[in-house]
Amino acid sequence: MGEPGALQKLVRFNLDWGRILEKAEQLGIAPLIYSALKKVTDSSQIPKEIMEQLQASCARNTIRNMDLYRKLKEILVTFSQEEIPVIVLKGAALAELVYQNIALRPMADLDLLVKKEDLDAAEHLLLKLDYVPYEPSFRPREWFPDHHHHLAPYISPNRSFFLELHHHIIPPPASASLPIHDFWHRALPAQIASTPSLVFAPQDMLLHLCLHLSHPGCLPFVGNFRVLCDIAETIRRYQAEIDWAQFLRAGQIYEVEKFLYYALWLAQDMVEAEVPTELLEELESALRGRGLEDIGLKFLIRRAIFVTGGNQAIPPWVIHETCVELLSPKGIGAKIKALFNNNWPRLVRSAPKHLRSPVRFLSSIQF
Amino acid sequence: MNFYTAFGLGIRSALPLPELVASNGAPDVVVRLGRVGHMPPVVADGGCSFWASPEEARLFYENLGAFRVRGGREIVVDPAPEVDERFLRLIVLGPAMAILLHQRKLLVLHANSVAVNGGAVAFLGKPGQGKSTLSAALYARSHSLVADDVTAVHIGTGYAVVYPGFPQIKLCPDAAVSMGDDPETLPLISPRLKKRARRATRRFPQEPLPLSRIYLLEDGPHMEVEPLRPHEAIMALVRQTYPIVAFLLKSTGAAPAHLRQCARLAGCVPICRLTMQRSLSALPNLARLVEEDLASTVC
Repeated sequence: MGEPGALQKLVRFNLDWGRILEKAEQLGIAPLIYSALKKVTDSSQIPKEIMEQLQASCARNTIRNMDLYRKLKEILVTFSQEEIPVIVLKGAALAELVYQNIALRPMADLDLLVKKEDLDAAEHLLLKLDYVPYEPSFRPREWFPDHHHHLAPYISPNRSFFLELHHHIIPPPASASLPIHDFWHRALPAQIASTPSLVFAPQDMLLHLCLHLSHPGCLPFVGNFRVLCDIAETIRRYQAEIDWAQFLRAGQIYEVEKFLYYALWLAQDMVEAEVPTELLEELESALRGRGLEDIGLKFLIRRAIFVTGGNQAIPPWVIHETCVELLSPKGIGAKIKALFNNNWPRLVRSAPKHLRSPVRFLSSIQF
Repeated sequence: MNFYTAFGLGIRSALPLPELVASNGAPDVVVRLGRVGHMPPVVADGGCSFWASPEEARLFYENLGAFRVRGGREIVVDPAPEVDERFLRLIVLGPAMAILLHQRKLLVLHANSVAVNGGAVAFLGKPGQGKSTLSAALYARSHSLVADDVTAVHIGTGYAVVYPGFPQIKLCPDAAVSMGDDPETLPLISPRLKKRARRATRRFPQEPLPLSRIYLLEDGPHMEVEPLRPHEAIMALVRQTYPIVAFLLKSTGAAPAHLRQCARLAGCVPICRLTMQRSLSALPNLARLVEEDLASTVC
C-alpha cells in the first residue's frame, strides 16, 4: 500500500497524525498503515507515539487472527472428515493468500461458503464443535435461509467471534442471476490455517470483493475503505493469474458490470489498483446514457468510502440510500424523485436548523 | 429532530444527544419533551424519587426535572426551568435508558465493557472501584470501548451478547491525566460533577459482541484473578444490576425474572473476581493481567 518513496515525501508535510490514527483504526486499516510507514527510511517526521499505537493495534490484530485461524483449522478438518466441501471467504482467505501476513488484515468474523444442500450437515457439525446459534434481535433464525445469502450467525465456543455460513455471495433476489455453482466449479484448492481447503479462483475473489463493495444487497461503499485495499492487493498478488476476459464475461453474463465498474474505478482512483484500462472502458460502456448518475455517484462514493458512522453532518444511512438509488436501474427522473421524496424530508428533519438547505447541507459533509 | 443509535436501538430524540452515534431514521425509541404527571413515589434513592409499574416508570429529580419511560419505546423529558441540558442528558443516557433497556427485557448491569480479541469483557464493581479507569486503560492499549456504566446484555440460549452503548468514558481528572489527557480539555459531564467526558470514537464497535467474560473488581493486596463459584457469580450479578433498575424490581414484580436472567448469564459466561490495588500506577499491570487472563483458556 503506497510506494515508500511517495510516503517519504508525504510524511514531510505537517500531517494531523491523531486524525490519521483515528481514521485508520475506524476503517480497520491500522496494520496496513503501520506496515507501510515502517518502510519509510526517514521516519523522524512520524511521531513515536503514533507508531507505538499503530504497532499495538497490529499486535492485537495478530493475536486475534491467530485465535481465529486456530478455530478455522478445527472447522476445516472436521468438515473435510465429513466430506463437506467448504470455500473460505473474505478475511481468512485474504489475510493468508493475498496479504500473505495474517497481521495485516483485521477480521470481524469468519465467513465460509458451503453448498445449499450441505447447510444442514454443516450446521450439525458446528453444533458438535460447540458453536452456539445466535438469534439476532432484528430477525428470527428461520428467516435467514430463504431471505439472505448466509444463515444467522453462530457464536464461537470461546465467545470471541461470529461465524457465518454462506450459501451465496449476494442476497436474493439478485442472487438468482449469479449461479453460485459457477464459482464452485472454478474454486481452487489452497492451504488455509495449514489445512487443505478451497478458495475462489482469483477473478472470482475479485468479483466477490467488488460486489461486496458496491452491491446494494451489501452496504455499498460506506466506510468500506478496507475492501478497496483488498481489491488493490488482490490484483497486485494475482496479476498474472487473473483471467480478465473471463472476469469481464462473468460481469456481463451476471449483469453486474455497473457494480464491478464503480468498485474498480474507485480502487484505481483512490488506492492506485492496477486495473487494466481496457477492462474499465468495457465495463463503462454498459453505463451509456447514465451521465448524471455517474457524476453524482463518483462524487459521492469517493467520500462515502471514508464515512465511519460518527456524527457526520450527513448520516451514513443517507449516503447509503443515495448510493443504492443512484445504482438502481430506474430513470434519472425517477431517481431524483425517489431521493427527494424518501430521503430529503427525513434528512431535513434530522439536520441542525442552519443546515436545512441542500447547498449548505452538501457543503457541510465531513469525511 | 435528531437520529442516533445506541444499545442496538434506533433513537429519535428531540433533545440533542451528542454523546451518541448518529444513525438512520428508523427509530425503535423516541425521546421527546412533554409533561410528566407526578405520582406518589414508592421508593426514593439519593435525590431521586420514582414510581414504577411493569410498563412504565417515572423519575423525579429535584430541580432537574421529571422523566417518564414507557414500554421500552419512549422517554418523555419534563425539564425543570433553566436546567442545564447536560443534567438532562446524563439522566436520559443513564437511569432512564437503563430502565428502558430493562423494559425491553435486557439485563442491565452497572458495568463497563471493552472488546478484547473480538469478545466483550464486562467489569462489575462498586462506584469508584475503577471500572471506567480500567476500561480507559484497555482502550489506550488498542482495545475497543463497548459501554461505560450501563452495559445491556441480551441472554440467548447458551450465549450472551452485549449491545454497544456509546463512545464515551466518564473519567476522574487524575485518571484522565494517567491516560495522557489534559482534563481541562475534556468537557465536564455535568456542572456539579468533577468527572470528565472522554470520547472513544477511534475504536467503537457497531454490532453486538459475544460476552466472553465478566470480572468483578474488588480491592485486595495483590492483583489476582480467581473464578467465582456459581452462587457467588449469581449474587455478583444481582448486586451489580444497574442501581435504579434494582430498585424498580420490587415495584414491578420483575425480581424473579431478573434472578433467572442472572442465573442464566452466570451459566453461560465465566465470571471471575479480579482483586486489585486501587492505584493509577498499577493500572498498566492490571490491564496486562486482564489480557493475559483472557488469552488463557481457564478463568
